[in-house]
Amino acid sequence: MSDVSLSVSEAAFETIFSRILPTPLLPFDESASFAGLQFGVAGAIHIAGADGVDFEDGDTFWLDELEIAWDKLVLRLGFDIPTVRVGGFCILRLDDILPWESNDCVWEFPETDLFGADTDIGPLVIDLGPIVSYVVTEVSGRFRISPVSEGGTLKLKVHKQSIDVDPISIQDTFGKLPAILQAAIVAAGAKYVTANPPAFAIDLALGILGFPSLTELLLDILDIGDDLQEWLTRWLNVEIGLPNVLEGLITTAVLKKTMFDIPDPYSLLPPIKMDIADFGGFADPQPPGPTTTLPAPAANIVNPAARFDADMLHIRFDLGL
Amino acid sequence: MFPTMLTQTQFDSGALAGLASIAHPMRDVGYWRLAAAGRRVAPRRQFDVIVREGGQARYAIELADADRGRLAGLGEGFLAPGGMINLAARGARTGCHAFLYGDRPDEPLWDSRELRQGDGYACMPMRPGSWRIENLLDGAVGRLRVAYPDPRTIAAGQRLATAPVRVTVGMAILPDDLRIDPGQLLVFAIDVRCRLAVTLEQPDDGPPELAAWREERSRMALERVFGNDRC
Repeated sequence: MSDVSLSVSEAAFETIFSRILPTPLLPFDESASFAGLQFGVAGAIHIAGADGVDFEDGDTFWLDELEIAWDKLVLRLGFDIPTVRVGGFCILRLDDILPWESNDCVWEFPETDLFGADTDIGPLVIDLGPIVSYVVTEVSGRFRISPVSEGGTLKLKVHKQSIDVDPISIQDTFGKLPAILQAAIVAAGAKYVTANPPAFAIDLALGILGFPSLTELLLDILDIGDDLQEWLTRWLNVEIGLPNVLEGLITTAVLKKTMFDIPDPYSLLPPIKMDIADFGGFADPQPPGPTTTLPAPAANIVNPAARFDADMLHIRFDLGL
Repeated sequence: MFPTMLTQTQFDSGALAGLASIAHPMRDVGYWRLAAAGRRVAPRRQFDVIVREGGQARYAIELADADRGRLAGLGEGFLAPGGMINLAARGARTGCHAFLYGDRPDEPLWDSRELRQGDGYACMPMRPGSWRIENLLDGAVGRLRVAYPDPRTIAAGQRLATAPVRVTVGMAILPDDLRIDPGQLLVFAIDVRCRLAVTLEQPDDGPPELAAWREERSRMALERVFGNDRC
């Protein structure tokens, strides 16, 4: 049996944890590219709280529904116009000149790429601020607690054991997203036309690529299909891997949290000021004045442990007396 | 940025640059040296051309590059009799030419600024409009019309033509009135001494109603994806 045992109820733990859980802004910036589209996302979230805590047997507890608040969500789109390769074909073969000879190519028009691998349009910055309130992020997780001696205190730290971040969904019931993205595509087209004034050059490039309009080329590169919300969430969840990004942010943020600080050495009593005449006697030397202060009795904390049972957290340790 | 090759408005066989090529046949077995020349060509850029049985059908030589120093030095190629030297200068901005030397290093046997019977010149005009084709050595001329790449025809499912168009340069340029799509290759078979210039005279920026058509087409494309919401 330990020398000291502290018990904290699940309700008290939940109240305390809810107070320490909120975080400052947790920013991130990620990007991915696929088939001519560079997709970047810069955002910031903060943890606002949690819906509930369930103690488990052992040293873990289950955190229900972390409340994730989105503070910023900005997309960056960059478009690569597909490389157009001209030339690289045979103009004249040997048997065109000398019919009895082989058909080896004697004259080949040199191959040239008209568009390189660089981003041709963009990056186009699209602020999704108007729809961040429709971004649904469901996060729950299992956390482990452990006592850690650190800088003269015994701290009860919370560690991630597993975090479940559901794929992000967007419930844009008011349909703001289509208007935002539509405006961005129109702006991208206008920007490109401004940067490349001759209309013939754009029509020529589009003609070679087989697109009647720049808008259709951009839409083809975006490959949105018939469900814009599904397209955006696929990019965020699959190509960018936002659930993993958020898990990393949350893990780091939660790791910094301390539940309880217990001074180590552990004070048993406060210092005692007393009249020396009231005391039975002192070993030499005698205190010089009529009063003295007895130092606070304290003991180092040894063998700390923290465990949950059904509805109670038990923090136990021995005193190194 | 848009590739400058798309906006090239002049081709000159005597100043090779951009989307153009010259072919020169090498019929006899032997040893020759080809030297590149031009304002932006690296000095002493030379190529040994060895014609012998078992050689290649063609020897492709890039006369100039945007990086002027990178292509300096000596190249070497082996051609079969009847094979052709293929010259290009895709990176050249001001044009360049070449000399072919035999036994005497001070007397070129062939100068690419004066093409001869059996040589070939090819160029790929991209700019829509009316072009003039002229043999600068004898004044023979021809007309070329590069069609505007009308997006309405692309929308109707047509594609730009890509097959090379062949032209003979003799006492006259035949056919002397050509129509091609941008990006179609003009291949000139040379029968007389010539220096060919293909020059844009009147650009074609497309019919004026295209702007309204583009706007409507874009609106419909956006509507198909995003619905009727106007941005």
